[in-house]
Amino acid sequence: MPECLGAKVPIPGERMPDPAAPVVEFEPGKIPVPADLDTIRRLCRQFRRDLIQLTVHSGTGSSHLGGELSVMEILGLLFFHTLRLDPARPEWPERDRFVLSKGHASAAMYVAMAWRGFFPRERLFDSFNRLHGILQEHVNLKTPGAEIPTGSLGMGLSAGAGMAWGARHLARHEGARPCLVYAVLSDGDCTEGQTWEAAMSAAHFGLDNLIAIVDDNRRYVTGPADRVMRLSPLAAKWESFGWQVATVDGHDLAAIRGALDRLQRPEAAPGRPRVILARTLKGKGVSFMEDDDGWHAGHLTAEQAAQALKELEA
Amino acid sequence: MSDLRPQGPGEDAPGTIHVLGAFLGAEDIRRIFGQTLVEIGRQNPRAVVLDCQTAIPTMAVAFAREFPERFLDFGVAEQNAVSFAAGLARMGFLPIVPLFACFVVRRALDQLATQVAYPELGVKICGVYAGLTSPNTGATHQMTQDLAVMRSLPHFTVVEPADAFELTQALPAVASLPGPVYFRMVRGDVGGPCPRVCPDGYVFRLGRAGLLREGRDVTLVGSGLMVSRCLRAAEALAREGISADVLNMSSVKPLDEALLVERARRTGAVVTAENHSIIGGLGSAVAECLAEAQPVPVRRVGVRDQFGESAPLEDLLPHYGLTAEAVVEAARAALALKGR
Repeated sequence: MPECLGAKVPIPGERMPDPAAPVVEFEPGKIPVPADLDTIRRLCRQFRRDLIQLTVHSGTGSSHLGGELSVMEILGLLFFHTLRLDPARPEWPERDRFVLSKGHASAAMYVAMAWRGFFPRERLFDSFNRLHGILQEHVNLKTPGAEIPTGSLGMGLSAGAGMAWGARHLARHEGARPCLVYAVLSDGDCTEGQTWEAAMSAAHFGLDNLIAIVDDNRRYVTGPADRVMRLSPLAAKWESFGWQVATVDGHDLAAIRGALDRLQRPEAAPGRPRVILARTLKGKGVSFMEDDDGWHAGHLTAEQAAQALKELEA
Repeated sequence: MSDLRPQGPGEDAPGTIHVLGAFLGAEDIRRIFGQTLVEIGRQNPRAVVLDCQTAIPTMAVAFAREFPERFLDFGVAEQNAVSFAAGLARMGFLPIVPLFACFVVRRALDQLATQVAYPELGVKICGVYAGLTSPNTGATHQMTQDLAVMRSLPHFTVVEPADAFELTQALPAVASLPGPVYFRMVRGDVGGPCPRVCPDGYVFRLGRAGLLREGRDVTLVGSGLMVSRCLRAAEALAREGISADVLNMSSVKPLDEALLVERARRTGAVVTAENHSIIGGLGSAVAECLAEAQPVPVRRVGVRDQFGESAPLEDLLPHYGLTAEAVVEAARAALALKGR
């Protein structure tokens, strides 16, 4: 466990969830990686439970649950199958880089990182949206393992492209071990002009070590993408910008893993950046949140939290 | 009206100070900028220059010729360039981003705040063509709000050299800082607005102003191209029997508060002069400092809450009051306030 990670912030009068009582038998920070799909499937259910608890115990009583629940399988696979990381050395130079461009879904990343061992799982429940806590509602460098602040949409792919160019340069000119850069975007990210500036430049610079994954849950804050601001045909847009595109069901672990495994190989598309368009469901896993506009960012009543946790036991 | 003709030999041609020809022959600061970038590139193999189609006018193209593998052209995409630079900084590079001041500060402000200032990354932003020195392009390209914006961003260091000589020291000095930097520069070919003002032996030190002239009655604090105007104003004031300090406040943030307060205590009156709006820039920084530490009359010379327009620089500078005469007038006004 890296040192530090912020003093535990006392929460007067609040009862902590019992971190010793997860519904899975795994121990945070001690899960063998790469994990098999059954392990990741069970972890994702636990992650969703932790997201509910995190929201209940958030200093502001809130998080961005809809987009956190939709991206959970993607992050589960990245952190427990794909990314080459060392939680004990968050700044290990040879690590793969991970950028969560949809920075408002930070809690989903924090949950995965806590279970991967970057910081104690207890921090999820005592440090989110609290003064001096290490977990901000939008990603920043106070969190060990975070690469770049995000939260204002559209910036993550540019920063990831910079990292990919840098990694390639270091490999070519300084003999560094090549690493891969993964950036997770939202569909809302794709309405930002800067995302397409980044897409254009990554293709122009031939960054085939850059893999974007779009959590395409088809819903913005105010409603369905097709009604608010149409992205379709999204695959054609990325292809026309020079990217190698794969489209998968973003909750099908085998499909996502297949795409990640295929696209991280240089020969899959030499000289071209890659994007996985993952079709997902906003609020996935909690019946009253699924595909409901009210859960982009929200607060949970005690009854709602209890019902969500009950549904996530199964 | 004072006699403002240049008194020293050689530096300026005869005529009033805002005549374009007065500065011909001065070194184009942009050429020195390009050479200094190349020097930084030689010293540091991780120095990378990121451009958005302004490398020819900024003369960063010199770096591109020398180190094509470390020069990245983004087309016209400032937001992407700034975030990309943040990614490079996170990978251990020294990203230098010389763009027109107007576009990098106005267009990529969110990226500068979120991905450069907030994580304290060592991205070096060079805002070129600052103030009114993009004369032929007008208000869309002139930038008189950049000091106000950039010095308000936490963790940013803000520096504006007074001449090419200072630039050769200041740019490598700020490039070696670990954190974010905004390095402000004028366009140098239109009338060479930055004649040499720093004496031989002058040493740039971050957070330290250069006391170019010592006086008793009033302290003139300039940055960038206005430092040379302050020096000529001081000469004109001397002929009226008024003895003026001239401070080159190239380090806008951190400001040399110690020297500023010491000189203000001694002279009791201060004039600021900047190629920038009087709102939020050097004048504001000086006034903020003195209001808290050594309240004395302060008069600010600069653009007075207006947009510029496209016109010859020799017409723009007097129209917007960026002249030695304006500094002299402001000094008289400050002295009148001191007498009250």
